[in-house]
Amino acid sequence: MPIIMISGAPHGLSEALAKRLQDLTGWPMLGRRVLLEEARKAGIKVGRLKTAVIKSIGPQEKLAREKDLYLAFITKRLCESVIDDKLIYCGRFGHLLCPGVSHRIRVGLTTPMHVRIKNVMEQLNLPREKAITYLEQIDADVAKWSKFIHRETAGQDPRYYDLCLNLQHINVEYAAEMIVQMAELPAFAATKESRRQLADQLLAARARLRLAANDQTKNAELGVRAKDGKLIVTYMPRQKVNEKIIKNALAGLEDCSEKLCTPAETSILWIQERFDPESEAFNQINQLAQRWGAAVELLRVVPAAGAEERPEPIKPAKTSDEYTGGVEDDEPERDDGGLTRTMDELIAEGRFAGARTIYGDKNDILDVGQEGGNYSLVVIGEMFLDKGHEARMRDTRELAIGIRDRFKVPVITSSEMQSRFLFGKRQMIKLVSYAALVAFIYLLVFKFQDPILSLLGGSLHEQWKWLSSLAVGLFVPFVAYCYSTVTGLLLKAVGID
Amino acid sequence: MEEAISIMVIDDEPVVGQRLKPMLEDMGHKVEVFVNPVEAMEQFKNQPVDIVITDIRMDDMEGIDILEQIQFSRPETKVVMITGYATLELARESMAKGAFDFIAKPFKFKEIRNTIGKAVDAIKAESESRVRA
Repeated sequence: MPIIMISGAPHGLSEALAKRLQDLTGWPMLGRRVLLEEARKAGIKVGRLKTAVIKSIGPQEKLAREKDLYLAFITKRLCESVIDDKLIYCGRFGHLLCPGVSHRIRVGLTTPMHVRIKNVMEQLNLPREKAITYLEQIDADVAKWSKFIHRETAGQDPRYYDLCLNLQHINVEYAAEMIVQMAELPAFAATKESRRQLADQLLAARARLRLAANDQTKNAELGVRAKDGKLIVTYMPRQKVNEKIIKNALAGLEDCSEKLCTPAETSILWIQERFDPESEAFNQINQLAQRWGAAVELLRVVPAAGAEERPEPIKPAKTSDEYTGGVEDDEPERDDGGLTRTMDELIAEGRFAGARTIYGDKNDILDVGQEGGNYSLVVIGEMFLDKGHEARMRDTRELAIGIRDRFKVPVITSSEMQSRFLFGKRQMIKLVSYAALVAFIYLLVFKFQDPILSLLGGSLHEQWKWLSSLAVGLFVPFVAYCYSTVTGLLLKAVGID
Repeated sequence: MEEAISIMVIDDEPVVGQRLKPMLEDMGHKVEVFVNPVEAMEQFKNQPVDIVITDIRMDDMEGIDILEQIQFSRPETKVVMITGYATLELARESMAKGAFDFIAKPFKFKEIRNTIGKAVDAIKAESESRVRA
């Protein structure tokens, strides 16, 4: 028997459908509201996450970890609520939860707008005009929530569902009966593999929550996944956690046959004065990190001129045990050069390896290398911004040479990222041009075989020996260059560096 | 000299009022704190205020009911809703029913200071337009 995930719009009839299904089947049911309330009681800042969708949040508010915790919490509760492979879940994005588990039926429910308007008017005591505005706003908020939490804009896209039901012509009763019939299909029966997947997702969610509750691991960037009952936790180099601390935090974890803790092997160091998660450089580094499975460490450099104004480290605002009723002291405001926002974005992508700020000059940056970074690549972004173009280029070049010598790793500037590692529009034009050139050369060679063979070893060769040597000497490297450019770009296009 | 803005804080958790009152008074406003929403509404009937900051979920009366009562009796009062139980629906419902703003707990002083600042600006602008009319 399957897990039924009903996803419907606010003030639709998804709760009524779930209730009817429960009456028909007697299966356990779990609703979105209950989950939200339980998450809040568990200390997850659900309210901050929700209002972050409506209002723009402060640039220094870190919500990426909160999002992770929220998802881990609802995954854990969902998995724990499954009894004998059965559950009815009613929410907005149930179809995005427990991915890969084959004994789920993802039901997308469409409720006619006039029904939703009537529901809002009755439930919230609003006049029709206000009810319509309210629904328009809430639908927009829900779409943003999907992007914010699940990083998906699934909406009503039928590709995300196993069954799409429109209540325009059928009622909740018929809809429930259709789902029950579908639930009996062998395609949605639980298998050993689907149960194992669900168990692994539960194990990973429990581990994530356990690590977030532990003082020594709660601020660490950890990758958590489970496979066949084995828990694999990866931690970033140079963090204040190690295998022992992680294993201690996870001691006694249920249904865990083995715990493996390993440091992440590949990371990219990105050095820059100011960071912006919406910049092209961020996008390119993120793409490369995804392709390599690497994490990104950020190093913000505040130039030596500003080093005299080096501020005291920020002490966290009121985090003592004193209860504040949710009214917290202000934290000192500081321009962190976009570091927090960029960190948050990388955490959300699961690619954050650490961040720090150094105050000083080139020598201070080079000293970072002595701390033993395990980098696969160093990317130098926009540096020496207070200098003129020429001086900036020269200093960037010198810094790159210094880092290459000290770190013993490849160093590139962010402007070289696209041409060296990524495939974009410019590379596409280059590929097409060179491919056309290579094709043209081959065409010429095959079309004029006789004179070419004659030049290489026939009568022309006898007459013009020096010319044939010269032609081969120039022509072969030229063809090799063109051909290697085409193959190199083709490999880059398919993601092989 | 400008007349001080009067603010009523309603939250059944005493610590909320204790923490907000000094901060709002430092901004130059007159502040009254209530832990009982029914008493707060009685007081409001006799002596209305310019701004009400109210929790949404309380034992004796819901914040949405307070908002509706204030909108009915004195719509020019700005109502700021605060809650630890924030949902998208609750936030949008409050706004649809005329709340000035909605703040989710936990929040920093700065956030409520900004909201109160905007509410004061709106009150002044409305008052000036009434005078001109």
